[in-house]
Amino acid sequence: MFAYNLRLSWLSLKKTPVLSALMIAAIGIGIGVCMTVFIVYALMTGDPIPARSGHLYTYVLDNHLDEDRGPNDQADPFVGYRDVINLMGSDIPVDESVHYQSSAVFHPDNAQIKPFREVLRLANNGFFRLFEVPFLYGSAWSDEADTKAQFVIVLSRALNDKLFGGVNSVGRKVDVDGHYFEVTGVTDDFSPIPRFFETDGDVFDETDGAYVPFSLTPQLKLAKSNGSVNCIADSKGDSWEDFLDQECTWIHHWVWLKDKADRDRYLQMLKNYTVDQQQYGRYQGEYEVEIFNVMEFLKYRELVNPAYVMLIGIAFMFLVVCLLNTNGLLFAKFSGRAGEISVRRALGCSKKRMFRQHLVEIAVIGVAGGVLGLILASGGLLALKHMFPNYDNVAHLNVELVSIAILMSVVSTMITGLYPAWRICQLPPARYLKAQ
Amino acid sequence: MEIRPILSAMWQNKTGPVLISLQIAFTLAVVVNAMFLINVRIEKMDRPVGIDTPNIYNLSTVPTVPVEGVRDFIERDMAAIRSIPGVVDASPVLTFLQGGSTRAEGYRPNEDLADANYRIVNVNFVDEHGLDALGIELLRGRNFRKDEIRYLDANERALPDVAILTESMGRDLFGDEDPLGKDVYYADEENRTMRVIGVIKDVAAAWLASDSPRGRKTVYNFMLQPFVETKSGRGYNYAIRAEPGALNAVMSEVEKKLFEVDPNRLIERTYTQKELLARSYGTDRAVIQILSIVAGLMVVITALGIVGLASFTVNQRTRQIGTRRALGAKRRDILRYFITENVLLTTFGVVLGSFMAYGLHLALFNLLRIPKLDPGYLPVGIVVLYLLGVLAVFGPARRASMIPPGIASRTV
Repeated sequence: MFAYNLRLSWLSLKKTPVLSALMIAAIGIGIGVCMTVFIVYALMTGDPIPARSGHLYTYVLDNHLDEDRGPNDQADPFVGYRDVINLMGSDIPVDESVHYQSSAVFHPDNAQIKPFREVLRLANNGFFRLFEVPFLYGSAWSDEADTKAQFVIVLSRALNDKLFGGVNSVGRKVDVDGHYFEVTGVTDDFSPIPRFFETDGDVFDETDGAYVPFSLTPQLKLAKSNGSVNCIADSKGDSWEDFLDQECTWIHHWVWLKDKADRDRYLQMLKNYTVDQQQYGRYQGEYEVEIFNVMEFLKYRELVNPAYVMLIGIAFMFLVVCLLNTNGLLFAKFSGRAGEISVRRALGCSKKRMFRQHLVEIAVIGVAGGVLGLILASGGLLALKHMFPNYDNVAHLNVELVSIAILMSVVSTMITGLYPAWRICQLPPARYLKAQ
Repeated sequence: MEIRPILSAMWQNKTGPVLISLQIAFTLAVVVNAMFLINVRIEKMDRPVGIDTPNIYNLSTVPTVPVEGVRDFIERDMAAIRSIPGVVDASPVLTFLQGGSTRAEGYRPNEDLADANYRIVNVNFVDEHGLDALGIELLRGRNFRKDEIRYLDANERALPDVAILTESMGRDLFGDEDPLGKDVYYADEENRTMRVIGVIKDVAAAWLASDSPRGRKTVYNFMLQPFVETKSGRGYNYAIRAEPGALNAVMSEVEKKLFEVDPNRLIERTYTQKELLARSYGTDRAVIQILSIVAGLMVVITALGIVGLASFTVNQRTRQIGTRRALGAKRRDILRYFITENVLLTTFGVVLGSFMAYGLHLALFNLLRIPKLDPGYLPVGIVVLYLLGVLAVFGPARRASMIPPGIASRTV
């Protein structure tokens, strides 16, 4: 029966090629535009680390350092070096990460490659655990390397390709800014979108080239790059040590908290800490202590451009127009067939079977529209990659999206088609038979 | 006129007309708002930026072997670059202008420490060649003198005695009074001031693409200070201005010359000022493109819907049309019938669509904090949709008018 209905649908589509093509095109374009915008939106607003986003927290100790706040008008969620050193090692979090982004010049042993600059992140080994950084070779450095500030390095896949031709380089040495570092691991591609753990500068841009222990900060004297440092000027000296001691915020500190109770405990601990620091003349007057999990944090940092919300709305209005269009065309198509339907009804075909046949036909249009929509969406994504080259590794169609597109297309077409199909089956056959 | 029979014919068979009118309404709502949003962004991108964008390029260089005197290193580079034919001038800068990274600072016009008294300003450093190297127009006062330029030591805080600021910055600080010769106070250094020695034509700050109200308000808050940064965080940044048309030649020549001066160096982040500006406006351009495509496709889809439905009605009514013709209706009467029908449909659509356009605009206004809709876009959208409807229906209507009167008698 179903096969028979399918064949009838095919014949019917062929009979009115222009109308059928228009319908499929309308649905296809609607789905294509919707999918493209939807994928971009999901990309920009999605949870970058779904398994853990409710447990990872960062905080703001807003000591009103940045009176001259940028145009976004909110405290930057960074911590000062002194505070990070004091606050690390609390027993409340399961695990924690401190890190900041810098850059350094690599001097390859291979004389064919000129020295080059790479993004270098100073981090503790908790960074790799907290943010689930995948490893291609080796692993993160040991806890000992962190406590003893050893010269070890984790390379990104791209940098390992560049320096060592992609072979397992664990144990080899790399010259960075005149220091030799031993490679303990090579990370695989790692690009959560958005890069929530690094919300300075361009969050949708730049990936890390290499990682070295955060405990090397005093020694390496590598300034933070591509992000803000907020300071209250004071009369201390000009050296790197003075800077670290100064009232500045610039380091990222993330903690992994088991549950809500631990979150509250941690917040209380932070508040107690700031009160305790008042004896050193810090945290005077009004200041704020706030704590955020990943999604709260993304919202706080306004990482999602409201323009994308607008595009989603407009894309759905667009789909509505396409569906209205299809609806009108279906009406036209079905009522053009009134004579034929009347004959079949008169020959004993039940309303129910008639209705079912029309639904199959609509579903066929829906599937065809969905397929066309997918083709257009992949074209749309290509165009987007062209517009934003850094989306390269993220904007692509997967099985899930393909199924969503086809399903969305069929369901919306079916809903659209129900009324015309029902209307056509209600026709009194006698009237049309007479006219023949 | 034949409006009444057309209306009653539509009433007999309302589904099609209702669907088309709804489509027209949605399309109008989206097209009007899209035109408005696109125009807001185009206006934003068309604002003057105050520098000679087409002829400037930037690079960042850093020695790979530590050098003793950074000041000498930079001064040698500058002398070499300035001697190249085709180069108008060059200057070390703190950050590339309008290129994303910023130094934002707070200043106040007097000693009053109240919060509301701070003005946010984008600060950049130049030497005495800065104005020429960036193509900035000096309106009043004077440029920095060579003896005023300080080379900052590592981590030294920049506390200048003199500064040059834009007209808008001056207005933000001192209202209608001339800022020239006035003292500007630091936000957090109680007893330090700097004197305004020059007022320049407005230069856009690094946050020129910001859509936040504060970002928009402070877009021309820009100040130059007589410093050269010698901390090699990510290298030393140079801005170089070429004579018109000479930019490409200058770019390769500068690189060659710099390697001659000191081969142990990296030259990185070479960006023309045009590239930087385009990068700053990246989101705006993408939104414009996406909106134009969506609005354009929507218009096309609606037109196709009109064509489809009209062709169908024409087929349906072949016999009636034949009959009308046989009873004396002329070709142009038939043509007029279909066009009038379409105009009526469009009228329903645009009336509903105007309300929807306003509703959508209110939603966008709340979401994007954009300025209020210019009512001028609505009539434009309405005219576009009327034209579109008539064009779309013209083909089917013409076909209808070709139906010979004989057909009526033939098929009965």
